[in-house]
Amino acid sequence: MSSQTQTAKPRQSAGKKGLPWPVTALLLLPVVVVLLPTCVVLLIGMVPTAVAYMVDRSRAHHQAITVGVLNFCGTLPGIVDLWERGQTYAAALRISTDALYWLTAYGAAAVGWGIYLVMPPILATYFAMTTARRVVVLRRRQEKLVEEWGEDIRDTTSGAAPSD
Amino acid sequence: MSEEPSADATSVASALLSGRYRVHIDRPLPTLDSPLAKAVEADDPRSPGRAMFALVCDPNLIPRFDVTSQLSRLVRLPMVVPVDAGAIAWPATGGRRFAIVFDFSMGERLVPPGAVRFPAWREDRVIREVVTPLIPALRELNSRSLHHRAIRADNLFYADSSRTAAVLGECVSVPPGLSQPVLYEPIDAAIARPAGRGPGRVGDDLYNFGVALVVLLSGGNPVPDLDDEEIIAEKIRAGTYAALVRHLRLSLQMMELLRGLLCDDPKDRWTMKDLELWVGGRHLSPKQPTLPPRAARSIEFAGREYWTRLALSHAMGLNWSDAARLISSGDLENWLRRSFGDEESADSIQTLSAFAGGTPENIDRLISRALMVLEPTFPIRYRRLSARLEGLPQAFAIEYDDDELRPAFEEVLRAKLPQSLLQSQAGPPAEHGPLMKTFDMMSFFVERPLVGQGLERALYESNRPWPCRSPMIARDGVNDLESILPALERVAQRGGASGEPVDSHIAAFCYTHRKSLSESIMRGLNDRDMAARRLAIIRLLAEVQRATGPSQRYPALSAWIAGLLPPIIESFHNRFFRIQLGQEVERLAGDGSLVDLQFIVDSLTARSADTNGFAEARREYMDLAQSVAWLESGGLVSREHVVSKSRQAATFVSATFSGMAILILSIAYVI
Repeated sequence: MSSQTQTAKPRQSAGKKGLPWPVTALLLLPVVVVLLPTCVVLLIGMVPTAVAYMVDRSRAHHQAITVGVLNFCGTLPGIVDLWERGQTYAAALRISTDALYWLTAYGAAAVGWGIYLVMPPILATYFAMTTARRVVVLRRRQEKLVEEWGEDIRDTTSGAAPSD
Repeated sequence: MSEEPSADATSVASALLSGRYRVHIDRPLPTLDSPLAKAVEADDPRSPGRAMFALVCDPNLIPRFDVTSQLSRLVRLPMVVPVDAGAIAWPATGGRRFAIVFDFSMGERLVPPGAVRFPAWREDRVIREVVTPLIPALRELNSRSLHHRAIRADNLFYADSSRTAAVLGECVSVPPGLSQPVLYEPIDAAIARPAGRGPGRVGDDLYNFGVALVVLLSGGNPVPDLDDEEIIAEKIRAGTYAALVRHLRLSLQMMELLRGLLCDDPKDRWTMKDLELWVGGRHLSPKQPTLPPRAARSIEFAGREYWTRLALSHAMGLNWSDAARLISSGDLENWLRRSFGDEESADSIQTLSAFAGGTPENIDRLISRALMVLEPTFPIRYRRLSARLEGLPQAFAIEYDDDELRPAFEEVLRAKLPQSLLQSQAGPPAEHGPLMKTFDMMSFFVERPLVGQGLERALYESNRPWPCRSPMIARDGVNDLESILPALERVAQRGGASGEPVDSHIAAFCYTHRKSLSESIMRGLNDRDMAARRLAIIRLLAEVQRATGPSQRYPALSAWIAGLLPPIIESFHNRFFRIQLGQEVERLAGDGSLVDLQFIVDSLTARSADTNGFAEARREYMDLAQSVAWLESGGLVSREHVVSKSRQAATFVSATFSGMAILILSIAYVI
């Protein structure tokens, strides 16, 4: 994994457009300072997303996103409650230790994780069912082309190369 | 002539010439026949009292269009001059023939037509009724550099019924010199085939005139015991005067006239000025004939002995196989060197013999070139072909259909023999430049046996008034571009619309008469692909229609061409477009516009769209094939594909649920 991370990093660095992380950190610092209680609550509630990010090996980080968006939705009631209570450190501490908050946030993350795990078999079954029909549709289109343009269209020894 | 005008013609018996003169094909006038043209009655509806007659030309010949208009302006001369010439409908064959109309203003012939012998004329009568009255005509022709080339005793007429003065007969119904018997011709013209005598040289008419006088004085042919070759041989041996005037007793005056006119050396022959002085009363001693140089020793050829180069050259031209042996044996070279002291000619013969290969063509070329060296003033000879240089294009046209002579012409032009003879003639006269250009042009085309070039192009470029010899339209007398499409229309109407309407003759004819035709059309005509060739055909004919009258309509020809278009239509890929194109062609076929037909089948835009569309469709087909192959190999249910798609789907579903949750929460909090 470290090697993949090491391999991924240069590509990500090379391909990534945007501000360097020190600059980003510097820009976010005032936000964090002002919204420290909120950040603490979020940090505690979004642990499943961090875990998902760490175990996700894909470039697009689909797993992290899948878990992350629902995880975030699960933390929203706590965040709203915190802001209703004035976004104080005491409120943040109280919410962070509230079991209901943990249930909501981690439960939503669990739903996201479940979606991520159950989707492959669902799609595999769907694809298996639709393969034959797709082949029929494509062949029908080919026949229409032959009818319009003649048998020469089948000739692959000369003429245009297939488009990419 | 192959078809005779007769009173039995039951279809249209009169034809219009130039839209004005009526030629009555069913009313022959045999007394006015020319050797190769039949006389019939004619009239001019605009001038009802005008007496006229017409000469209908042989179907394989054309009138002398190049001099017709000039001669028609020579009024009040003692000469039968044409009024107009052109093509007339010929009902017997459904085609056209050429005809010339004349005013019937002369009396009867001096010599009864077809007469072999007649009472010999006295000298005073010859001078009074023939020589003196014809001077104005001869003078006028000479001053305009026009050559009559048909002066014969049987082509002289009385000016009127008083029978006191002669007029020259017509000279335009056949190419120049074609109808002249060998008796009447100078030696070199007599050696040439009648078709190869050419437009005529200065002095030819006066020579003919001299022979005509001899015929009148002799009461017919002065040498009835000699055939044509013997006449030539005798002229060479003894000179024309001695050969023809051997039995006549003539006064010194007449002797002077005839010796002057019949002089074999054109440089010494009398000119018009000499004749006028003689008529005016100046009489000198008769010219002594200048005979050709005689060798110190004779040479034997084909069992006979020859003492002069002219005689040997003539004999060798008639005996090709023995000529080859004489040359290759070295005897000719030795004879020239020892008997004439002509080292240059002998060396030339030696060089020719050394480089000649063993093929029949090379031997023929050797003989031909050797004959040029032997006597450069004689016509060019090549097997049966014999023509004066300036008569070679004309001979090519007249004898094109001769299957033995046509290859001879081709070989002569490929070997550039006319150019060699031209260069070997002493001192380049002013007319050699255009002649050399003509021969170079003919050789150029002959070396390129393509449709639109080749022998046919050489034929029409060197004989522009000559009608198109395509078997489809040969009988229509098509001698200009405007007549091509109507002729093809008539072919189609007659039911002759089979095969392609453009062959090598028609293509060459069009390119000759329309220099702006594109070379791409010619490339298409020579393409082996039928669609490309037929496209070129319709392009050519459409271009001709644009040039000659785009508003003219040719429905039968259009239908013919429409029947040839399927390969072009099939060359388009798109089936729906082919159907549409076929319907358009069918609609336009009866319309008669070749330009419109060409427009719809030769559209660059349509062709480009079809090609691009086909390429695009092929790409799509191959993409589909790849997709099918991928599906059938389980690409859709492969692990990689399922994982990839399920990740995307999971993200989407999660995002959707999140969005809905946020929405519900928002509503709940607001409420």
